[in-house]
Amino acid sequence: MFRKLRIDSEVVTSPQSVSSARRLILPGIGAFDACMRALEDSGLRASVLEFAATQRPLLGICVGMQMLTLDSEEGSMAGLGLIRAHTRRFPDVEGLRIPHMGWNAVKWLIPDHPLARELSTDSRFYFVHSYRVICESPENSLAVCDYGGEFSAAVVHGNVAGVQFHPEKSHRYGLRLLGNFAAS
Amino acid sequence: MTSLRPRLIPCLQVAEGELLKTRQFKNPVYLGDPINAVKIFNDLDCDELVVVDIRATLARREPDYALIEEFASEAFMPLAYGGGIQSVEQIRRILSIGIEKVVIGAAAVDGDLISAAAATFGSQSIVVAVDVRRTFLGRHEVWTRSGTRNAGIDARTYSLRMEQYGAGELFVQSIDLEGARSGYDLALMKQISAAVRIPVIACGGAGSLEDIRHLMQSSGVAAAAAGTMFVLHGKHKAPLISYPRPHEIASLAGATRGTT
Repeated sequence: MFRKLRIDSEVVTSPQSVSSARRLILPGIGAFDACMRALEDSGLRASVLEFAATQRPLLGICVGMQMLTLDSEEGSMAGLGLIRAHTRRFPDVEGLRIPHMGWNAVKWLIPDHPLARELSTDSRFYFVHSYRVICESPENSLAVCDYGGEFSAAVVHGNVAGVQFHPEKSHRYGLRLLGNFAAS
Repeated sequence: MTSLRPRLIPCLQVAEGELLKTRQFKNPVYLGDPINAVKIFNDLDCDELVVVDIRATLARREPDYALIEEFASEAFMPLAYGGGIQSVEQIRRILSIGIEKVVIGAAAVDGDLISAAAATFGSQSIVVAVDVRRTFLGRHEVWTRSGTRNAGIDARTYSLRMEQYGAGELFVQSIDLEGARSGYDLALMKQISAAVRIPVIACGGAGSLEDIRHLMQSSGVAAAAAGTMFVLHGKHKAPLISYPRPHEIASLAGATRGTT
């Protein structure tokens, strides 16, 4: 996808390459503890936190966004705590299918944020998740989505942001968001 | 909103690098290059794609990772791959290529792989294929290995069991109606969808948007998949890839509430 946007990108696995990156994406597919453990075992947990402290742009995607929060109901390990938020399971409501899987509209609460550029009036994204992020403070909620109640579809705190949906699987809306991130 | 816009999913059959189409899981017809098909569906802003290698399990072959990698690089949309998957390691390899979900058929039966895979990768990545034949008495039986082995269990019980093991989604396909273009097995889809809480993708029998509208109105499934309808055209069944426009898909959802 970055190739299509003509943006240089590479998959990094060492603390050195994390610290020399200009922007960093923290992806995540899988169970919360498995992802946190993988980050720890690879020795990258500290380098991601250091990176975030340098004010360079960091974007968490899906479980990568959930990893930015304090904790998750899916596991027992602590999150990175970069966003004051909690990851919780969708409520057990009659007729609410879990996972939340499919295309859904999002409402940008900070429409002039650089990540939301040209997305604020019309955008839909692909979601696949059973746990959702609830921010302690509404100012960290960059966008919300409604599925059995509102949850944060995107979060932000300074240079650290996260999206619950999969921009890499959301056609031109996702291309736009990743382009926005690369330009931020 | 607790109901999502219905997903419309082309289901592509491949084997040995070729795009194929069967009828009732038999008589595969060669249609062309599967990578080109994925590319066209991507350009058409398709909701999601399912690609199934219909010979891998029978031939005891590993998934074709090189081909899967080419799919992943062409698809900026969710992609599920099925065919020949038997281990957690194979699933890890496929997901690391950039595929969202794996579809597991025969290897799902005893439950161990599904439980292990759901614990490692999360349920959302694990789809179980439920291929169903209808008996003379109207019973829905589950068959595996491209419809060659009777699993000896009815579709509803099997679906509930798979949900319990940790499947995140069920791909329920009617073998009898596959390629028939006469409409979905509504009774089957309704029964499974009502029994489980995870999303159900219905497949087998779609011939038109009307068939999909019927399915969406009456069955409660989360997604409609179709092969023939999206890859063949007209009564002579010429290979032609098509996909409805966004407003046509939106109208399928509106119909659920709008009609009287």
